[in-house]
Amino acid sequence: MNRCLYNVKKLMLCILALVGTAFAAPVSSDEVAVIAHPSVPVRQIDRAELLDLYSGDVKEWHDGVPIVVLDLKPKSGVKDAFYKYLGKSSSRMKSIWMKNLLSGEGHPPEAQMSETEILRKVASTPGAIGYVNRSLVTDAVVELVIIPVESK
Amino acid sequence: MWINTNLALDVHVALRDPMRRSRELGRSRNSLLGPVLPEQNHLPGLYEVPRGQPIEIHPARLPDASHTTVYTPVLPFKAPNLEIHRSAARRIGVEGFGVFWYSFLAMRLIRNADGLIVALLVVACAVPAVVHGQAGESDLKVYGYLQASFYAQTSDDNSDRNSTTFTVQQLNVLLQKDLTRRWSTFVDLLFTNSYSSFRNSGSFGIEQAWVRYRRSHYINVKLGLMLPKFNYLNEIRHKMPVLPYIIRPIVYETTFQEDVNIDEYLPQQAYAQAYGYAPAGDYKIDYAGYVGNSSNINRDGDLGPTGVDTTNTFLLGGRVGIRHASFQIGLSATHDKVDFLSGVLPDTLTPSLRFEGISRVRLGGDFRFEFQNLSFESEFISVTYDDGSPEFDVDKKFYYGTLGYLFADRLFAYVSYWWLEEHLAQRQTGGFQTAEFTIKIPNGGVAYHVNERITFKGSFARGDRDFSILDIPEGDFKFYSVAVSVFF
Repeated sequence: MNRCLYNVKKLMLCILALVGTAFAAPVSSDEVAVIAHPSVPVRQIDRAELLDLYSGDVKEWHDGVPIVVLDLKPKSGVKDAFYKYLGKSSSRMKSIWMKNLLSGEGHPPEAQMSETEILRKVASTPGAIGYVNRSLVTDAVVELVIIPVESK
Repeated sequence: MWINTNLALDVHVALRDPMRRSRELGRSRNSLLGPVLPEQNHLPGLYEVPRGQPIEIHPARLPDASHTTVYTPVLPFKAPNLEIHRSAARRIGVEGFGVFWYSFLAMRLIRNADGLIVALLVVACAVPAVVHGQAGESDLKVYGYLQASFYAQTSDDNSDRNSTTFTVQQLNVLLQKDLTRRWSTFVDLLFTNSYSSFRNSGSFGIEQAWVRYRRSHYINVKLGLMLPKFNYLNEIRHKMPVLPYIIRPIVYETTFQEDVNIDEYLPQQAYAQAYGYAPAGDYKIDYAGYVGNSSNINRDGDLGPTGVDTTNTFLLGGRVGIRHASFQIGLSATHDKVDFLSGVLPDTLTPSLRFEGISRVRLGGDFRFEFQNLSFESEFISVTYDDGSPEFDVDKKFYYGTLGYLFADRLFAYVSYWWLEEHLAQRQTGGFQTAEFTIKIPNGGVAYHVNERITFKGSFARGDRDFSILDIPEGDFKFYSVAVSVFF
């Protein structure tokens, strides 16, 4: 009887673990890279500066080139890690963008459907900045900051 | 008939025979169908063209040859055929559906003088040149939001205030365009309370219409009609999708205008504003300064208050603040002059006896912070009149504080407390009787974000009003409301 109960417990734990894994946002790498077009005049950026860019407070690079901010539309572990690093939840950021938009003060970031699209857009757009899983980064872009991802 | 196309352009080239026009354009893209535009007029939106003569701009003349825009002047009062084929419009380089929608909206609006104004604004602003002639010039963006609500108000001891109603509390149509990298323009058209001119309900107004020069984050200058920066909420008080409220803190809420004259508490309009911020480490120092019209200034009692006379005074105001990623705090102030009894008391009395040109100072303080999912915002406003007469005390104070929590990125719940105190002066033989009016409104609500565009809201408020004079109805009330807020 005890052995049977033990097996049932094990089975339930396995099911719970599987369910948890299924609902957890997938993260396929340990790091998220904030990337930019190679023409941008900076090679590193801190969290406050990054928040300024994504909140629309700063709209131009130091050399006057307009900043094109890119965001990932689908929910993902990479996106969660990025906004956690910024210190603002995704919904708080959306609220800031909406306020800017409705006040005529700025536009939300351009939402891309995948990290590959972000990578391609950043590589081809002067002044662009975005974030992707670090394993995808190529020489066509520069890394400004690396964000470690807590393992799920 | 020659029309300045900057105000009266319409791309209804496709209106009469859209397919024919698009066929022509497709066949002879490199030919000139109409008069050649003079080189010196080659600026977007500044062409003058004769009525009825379509013009195709030669692609070689366009900085971006991928766009070909065809102009004909708008028929300002009546367009006989508004059927636009979407694909045809697309082929001439405009957003076909947008053209259709704007034109359709315009025609629906042209039912009276108000509607005509709105229609002209919509058409003029919504369908301008698509020529990208300046670096940084963007397409025109048209978007907006609405909030439809249901209210139920009950009064403890005054049945006149018991009411329930459905209403489109607010509809805003917004137009935004970057003219160059540094210049942009913005128009905010506001319709309130199910506006209908033929049903005499609601109101319509140009809430904002400005052009902005942005040098850097240090300095921005806005010219035109705008909501000035005063405390935190004033500038965004109509932006319902970003506010959790259905009923805003009472001095920001037009629904309670029978109780509170919101013009006294807040600067409603400014016409020039400079603002920006200076970084200081992790902090930012915000500033703003503006000028506008004094409200209710008028030297001619026969005309009643006009609010546009700046002969002797302007509204002057500003805000300074400090901001961090997790909090912001600011101080605001305005100065202007008001006429209280112009047109009420005989003109034979001196202006001082008619309480004209009384100096008014508004002081405000605001504070907000966010810590993870918790947020708090609060404001204080004090309005002081320097009338030189201790009997005539009409000073006012207002405070609100809202504590909120965001659950699971979708559900925002809040509790809030509003407190308002007004000193009143009632004319009597030989002077004034002073009185006080206070209102306290504890309230709370929730806002559920279905998605990025739709938010459902619910709120409850209980109002406790106290008057120290008898001829003003008093009574506590309860206010229940539900609403849906939509961004489009």
